[in-house]
Amino acid sequence: METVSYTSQWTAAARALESERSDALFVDPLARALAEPKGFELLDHYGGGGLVEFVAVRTRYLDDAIGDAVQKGIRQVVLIAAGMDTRAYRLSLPDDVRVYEVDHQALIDEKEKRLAQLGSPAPTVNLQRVGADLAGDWSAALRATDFDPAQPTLWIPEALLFFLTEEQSATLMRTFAANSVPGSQVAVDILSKALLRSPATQIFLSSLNEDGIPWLFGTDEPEEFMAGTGWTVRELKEPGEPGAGEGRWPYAVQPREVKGAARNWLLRAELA
Amino acid sequence: MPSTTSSNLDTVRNWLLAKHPERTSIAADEDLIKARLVDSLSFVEFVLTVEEASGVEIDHETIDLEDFRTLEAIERKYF
Ligand SMILES: C[S@@+](CC[C@H](N)C(=O)[O-])C[C@H]1O[C@@H](n2cnc3c(N)ncnc32)[C@H](O)[C@@H]1O
Repeated sequence: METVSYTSQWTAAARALESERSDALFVDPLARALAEPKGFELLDHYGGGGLVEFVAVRTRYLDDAIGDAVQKGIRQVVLIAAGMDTRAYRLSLPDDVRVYEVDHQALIDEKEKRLAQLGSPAPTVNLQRVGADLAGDWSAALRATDFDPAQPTLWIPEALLFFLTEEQSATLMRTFAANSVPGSQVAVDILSKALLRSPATQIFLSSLNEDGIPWLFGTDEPEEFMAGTGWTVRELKEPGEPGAGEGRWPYAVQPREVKGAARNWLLRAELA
Repeated sequence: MPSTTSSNLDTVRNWLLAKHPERTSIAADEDLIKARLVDSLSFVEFVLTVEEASGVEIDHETIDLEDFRTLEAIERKYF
C-alpha cells in the first residue's frame, strides 16, 4: 500500500475512539477493525494537536452534509480518497442512493480483505469502489461505472486536500465541476494556510515530511479558492461552531479577523 | 525579581494548567510544544495570554517560536 494510505487507518482509529464515547457524535462499529494494523500507532506517534477531536467533528459534519443532500434529492455520493470510510454501511440512507469510493487500488484491496475477515458486512446502499490515482486522470475510471454525470452529485474529498498541492486541489475541484450538473455539491475540509505557517505546527509538519506524507495545501481564503474552481461556498464553518461540533471542541474559536490563527475550514459549496 | 513579574508569569502557567487538568505543575525549562501543552490550534490563544499577562504587544507575524518554547524563555523575552 502507498505510505499515504496508512493515514486512513489513523483517521479510522480516531473514529473508533469517538464511537466509544458516551456522547459520541456518530458510531462507526467497523472503525476499530479497519484501523488495523497501524492506525493507533500513528495516532500515538503524531498525537495531540486536536486531531482526534477534529476527525470526530469533521466526520459528523460530513455525515450531516450527506443527510441534507440526500433529503434534497441527490442520489450520487462520491467519496474521494475514501480510505477506511464506512458511511455506505453506517448511515441509514435510502436504498436508491449510490455511493462511490475512490482511492488507490492497493488501499481498496486492503479494505476489502479486512471487510471479508469481518464477515463481509452488507452496505445499506449501492456501493462501488474505484481504484485510481487522484493526482492523475481518475474521472474516466469513475465514469466507467454506472456513475451518471447527468445526475446531481455530492462530492466529498475528506482529509485529502492537504496531501495535494494547491494546483492539484484546484484541478480536483474542476474535475468535480466538469462531471457535475447544477444542484451538485461539494462538502470538504480545508486547512488554513495559517495552520501550515504557525510556528507551533512546524514540529508536526516536519515529522510528516520525514515520513513521506507532507502536508502541502492550505488557504486562508476558502471562498475564493472554491470560486476559482467553479464552486460557490454556501456554508463555511470552523470546528466548535454550531453545526460543527459545538461543545465538543477543546479550543476557542477565533474570530475570522484574528490574523495568523491556525484554522480548519469545513464547507459546503454548490456548482456556480 | 519583582513579585508582580512572577505572579504574571503564573497567569501563563495557570492558563496552561487549566487546559491540561492531568498536569499539576510545569517546570520552567519544560518544552511546551514537545510536551504538547501548546499546539498549533491553541497557539494564538496562548500568545494572547502572554500578551495580556506581560502587557507587551506581540507581533503575531514575526513570532520566534524559540521565545515561546519554555516558561523560562517567555519570562526572559516578555517579562
Ligand atoms: C487521511 S486519509 C482519509 C481517508 C478518509 N477520507 C477519511 O477521512 O478517513 C487519506 C486518503 O487519501 C488517499 N490518497 C491520497 N493521495 C491519493 C491519490 N493520489 N490517489 C488516490 N488516493 C489518494 C489515501 O490512500 C488515503 O486513503
